[in-house]
Amino acid sequence: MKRWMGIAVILLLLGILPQVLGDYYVILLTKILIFAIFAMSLDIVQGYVGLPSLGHAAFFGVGAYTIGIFSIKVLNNFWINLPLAIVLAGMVAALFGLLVLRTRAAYFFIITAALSEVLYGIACTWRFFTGGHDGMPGIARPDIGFIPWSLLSAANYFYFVLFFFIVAFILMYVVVRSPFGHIIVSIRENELRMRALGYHTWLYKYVSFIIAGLFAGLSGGLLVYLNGFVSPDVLRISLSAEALLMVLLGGAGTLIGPVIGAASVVFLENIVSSYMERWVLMLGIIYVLVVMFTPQGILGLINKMSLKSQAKV
Amino acid sequence: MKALVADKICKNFEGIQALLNVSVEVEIGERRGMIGPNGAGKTTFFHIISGILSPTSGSIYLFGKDITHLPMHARANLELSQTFQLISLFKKLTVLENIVLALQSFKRRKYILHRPLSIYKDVFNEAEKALQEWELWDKRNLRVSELSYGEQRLLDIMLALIGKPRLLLLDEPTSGLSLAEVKTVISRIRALSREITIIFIEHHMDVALELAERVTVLHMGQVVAEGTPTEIKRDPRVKKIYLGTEKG
Repeated sequence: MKRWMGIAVILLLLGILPQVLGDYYVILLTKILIFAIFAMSLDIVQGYVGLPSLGHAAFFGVGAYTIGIFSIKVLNNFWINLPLAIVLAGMVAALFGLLVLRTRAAYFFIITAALSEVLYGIACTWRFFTGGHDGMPGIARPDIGFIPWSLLSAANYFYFVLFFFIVAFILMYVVVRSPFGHIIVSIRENELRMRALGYHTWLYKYVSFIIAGLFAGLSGGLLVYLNGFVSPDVLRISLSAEALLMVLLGGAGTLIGPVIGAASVVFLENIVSSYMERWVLMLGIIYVLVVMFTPQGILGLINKMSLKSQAKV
Repeated sequence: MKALVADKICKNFEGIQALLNVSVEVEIGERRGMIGPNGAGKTTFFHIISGILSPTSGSIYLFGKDITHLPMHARANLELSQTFQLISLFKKLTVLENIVLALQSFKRRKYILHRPLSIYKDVFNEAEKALQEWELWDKRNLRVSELSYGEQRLLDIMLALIGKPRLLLLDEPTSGLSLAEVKTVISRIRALSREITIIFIEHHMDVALELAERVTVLHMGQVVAEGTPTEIKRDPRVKKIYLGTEKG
């Protein structure tokens, strides 16, 4: 009951905020939601299955470039382009998964980064399609057709992204609560025993990798619609590392954790950076403190504090 | 038909010959003990049977089916189950969750992505029945890491048995247990149906000879003796391996 009340309050707040905040902050909130989807998708692989990837931006970038290329060079149709962005990101994840899931631990980390760099290289050099380092400007916000509001307004686009965030959250929540979700967590805990129990662990990891790719593609597409621009930066290792940081900072192995992590990182990146030049240093310090004192992330700290306060009562 | 036929199994680890032409045949329903000093190759043999390791050469037949090249999970689906030398559980999960996990592996719903696990009441009912039978029901909500070592060992064996395997490999099931716990484990193993063939590795000679109907002795990667416990006790080669002398 308490949980549902909490969710209702948060949704109410998210409904009201765009009406009272200026455009800059609404865009910031929109970015938080987009990166929250991205971080949650990474958490499926990293937190639930236990495979830390440094190449998750690859699927984000595929989603982003699909929207960019199709909107500008083929057809600007949201109903075709966004699903296509999601499917293509999933297909690239399916292809990469065949290669990366042969490895584990540090090798997995390195090979995911290397494959992401391959796509970054293609985006930089295939100028005809991608615009090279200059990127592709002039990507229009989606035209949904049947809704009477224009998505050009920051508030309307926020609600549009909020809808996708809620859908993505619910879908991922359903997956992690399913027998499949129970199994991937157990693979993280003890893969050998899972194999001994008759589970085809590779298949579970592969499907999880594809699911993560699909949602990353969605978030990449939504970001391009927000910015109206796509460049090779969406494929950089630094973006993958940032997502990794969001997951670890918020709390891996939960869906709320990455949302908190995304909010913290995007907030620091955009707000603190306007007051101090070395905001990354601050992010680094916060990260070190979290790892040292609350390895379960900010969510772990919140849970610990609420347990303590309950014990006092 | 035999429960298990291991035919001339060899295993070479980069120049170290861990197993050399090991051939073992186990009858259906048999209790087979495997003994031998440390480094004899017992666990390597188990790992080859279960699919953790591939043999360098040789073949393995499980109830007449060639499983030499099958992956581990596929062997488990052919009703081959095992426990490990070191307890291998899901320590962050509760006792109940561990059992549910083992039960799910035999159901097609293990691939379900769109429904919560909690709606499958039948699995939880089966888990309750099993936990009550093994006297662990009161501890169902404890994390495995909160159980005593002996309880963890029991749960470990329980996990291997829950899918009603036809062949069970137990790697040192009594290791690290107190005398009272050893007795409990032995009585549990004794009570198992004859439909389950059991091969076990045991360091406690008395336990091995008490539980087994036949015993295979491995030494330096080779089978040096095989027979009933009485035959093994009298075998001069076994005495030499264990006591350094052929005199008993």
